[in-house]
Amino acid sequence: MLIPLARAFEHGYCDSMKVPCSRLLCIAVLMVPLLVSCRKTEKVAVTEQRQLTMVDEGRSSFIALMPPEWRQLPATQFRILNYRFGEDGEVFVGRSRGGALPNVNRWLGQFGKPAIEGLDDLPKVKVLGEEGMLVTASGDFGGAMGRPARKNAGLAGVVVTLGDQLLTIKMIGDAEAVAAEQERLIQFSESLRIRDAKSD
Amino acid sequence: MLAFKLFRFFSGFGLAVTCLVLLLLLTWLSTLEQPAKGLYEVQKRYYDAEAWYVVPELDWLPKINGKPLSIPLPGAYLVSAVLFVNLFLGGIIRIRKGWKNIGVVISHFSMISLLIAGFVSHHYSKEGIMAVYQGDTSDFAQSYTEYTIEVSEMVDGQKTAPYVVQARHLKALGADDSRVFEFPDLGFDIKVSSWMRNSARVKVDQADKGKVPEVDDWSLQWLEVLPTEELNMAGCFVDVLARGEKSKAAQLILHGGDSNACTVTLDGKIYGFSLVREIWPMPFRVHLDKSVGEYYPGTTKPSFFQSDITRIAEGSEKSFRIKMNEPMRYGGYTLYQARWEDRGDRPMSGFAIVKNPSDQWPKYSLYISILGLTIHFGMKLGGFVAKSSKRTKKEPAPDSAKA
Repeated sequence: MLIPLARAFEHGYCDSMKVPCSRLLCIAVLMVPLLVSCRKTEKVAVTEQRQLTMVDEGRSSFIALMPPEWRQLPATQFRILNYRFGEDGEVFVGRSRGGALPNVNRWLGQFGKPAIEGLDDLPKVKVLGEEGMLVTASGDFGGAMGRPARKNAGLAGVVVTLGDQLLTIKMIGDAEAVAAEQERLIQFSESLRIRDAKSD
Repeated sequence: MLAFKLFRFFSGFGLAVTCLVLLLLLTWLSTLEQPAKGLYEVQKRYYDAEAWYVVPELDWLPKINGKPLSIPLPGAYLVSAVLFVNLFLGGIIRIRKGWKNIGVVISHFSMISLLIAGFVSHHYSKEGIMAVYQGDTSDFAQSYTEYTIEVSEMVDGQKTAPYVVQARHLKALGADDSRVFEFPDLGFDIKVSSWMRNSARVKVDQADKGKVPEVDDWSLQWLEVLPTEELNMAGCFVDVLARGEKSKAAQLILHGGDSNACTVTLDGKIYGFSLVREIWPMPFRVHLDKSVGEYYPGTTKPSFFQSDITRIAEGSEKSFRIKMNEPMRYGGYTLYQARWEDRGDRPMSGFAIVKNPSDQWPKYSLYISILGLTIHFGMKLGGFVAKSSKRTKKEPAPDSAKA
């Protein structure tokens, strides 16, 4: 194919017309597929892997070992970590202010339970090297933070004071499902780690 | 002979002029359309390889029976391809060869190489943005507009190297289309449906009931596509299909604004799924030592910015200062500052990173063009001077005749 091209170049248009014309047209026609990008197909096999970068360390300030029985959902404004389990059970990690006791009593109040005087009697859970309190309740949930009221609901939550803030790990769902998941919640709370700073 | 006629047509001067006029017209019309439709949309409609033709949509075009006049024009890519063929056949093959025309041939060659540079850039260049806060380090860039789906196994709460569903497969999906992506190494497939170029993740009580699925009390809502493509947040529904099972193992909502992955557990392994703007690992790291800039008074538009960075690559560190029109080049990558912000506790520099194999080709084409035109006009000038001096010798000056 290149020979007639070279000949055409060498001899100029007039001399070369007899030989290369049709072949040159072939070249032009053959170039068309090169100029058109690939089209879509119905099924696509994905084998390409990307190497890990700093972005894969995640935006959350925590690393958590999620039980395989849970499923992670995207974080929201008030949920640093956000999980679901079973049909409609929820687990979420958030930050709060206002002291541990008022928050614990607020949670208990959502289930119509009386407020407690102190935190000493609550079971303890080690979270990020600090002593957290485990709060449990069951009954009729009155609804809060956009969640509707529901009967026969359960609560299991951990509250831990970190500096001037509170870290809360809260599980809400069907009373039986929450009771069954409580041990996993404790293990999850104990597994939390603070992510190293991204900067060198 | 048909072949001869076709050759004459494709190598003809008339076709060259038509192509150049069309390119001028397309550039003018697309520029006029850009403020309303946005750069991304206009580029896609006028200049994409798949845009065989374009119908300009401009308010001032005359209306016929209340409908705007539609004048289909060939796409710029197609016109450029025809111009390339025309220049090659007419300016290299058909042109009369000889020393007199060498400058013209070189000039035609420079135009051909410019079109080739455009072709290579269109198909093989890549561009992204690396945003780094002062004091931080980064080793990746992200696409401005192209979304990918990443699937990775989560081990000990950490992501492993993700499998990437490329943007070209997702962009091709229409609202009612769905496509299955197979992961041979993972033992499951996914079906992506209801691709939304701009969407919002909404609670089910805010969603259009029955129109789109609901997953874990969340759904997606279609939003009008914004002219500035960077502001659009893509979204889609994903069915996870365990291989060998008829029913789907899970359904997920993926949204471009999500800050972390959604997970599904299959055979005891946790897999994360996320819809993210394409992540582009860099072969170097950039540490932002200092970021300085200024805004125009009363605006958030920077009037000036520059960054002092340390490039960390292959075990060595090197300091650079990047400022407007002074990029850093390394390993085929060009890194220039495109953004600057100082809204939080630390200033942020946004570095546009471009990898374009034909990055310098237009410059070389220009040099070739200068060479060709210099030869051509130099020869013309030389010829003119030679003719003039001959004429002067033949016709002696009146004074010397008298003498």
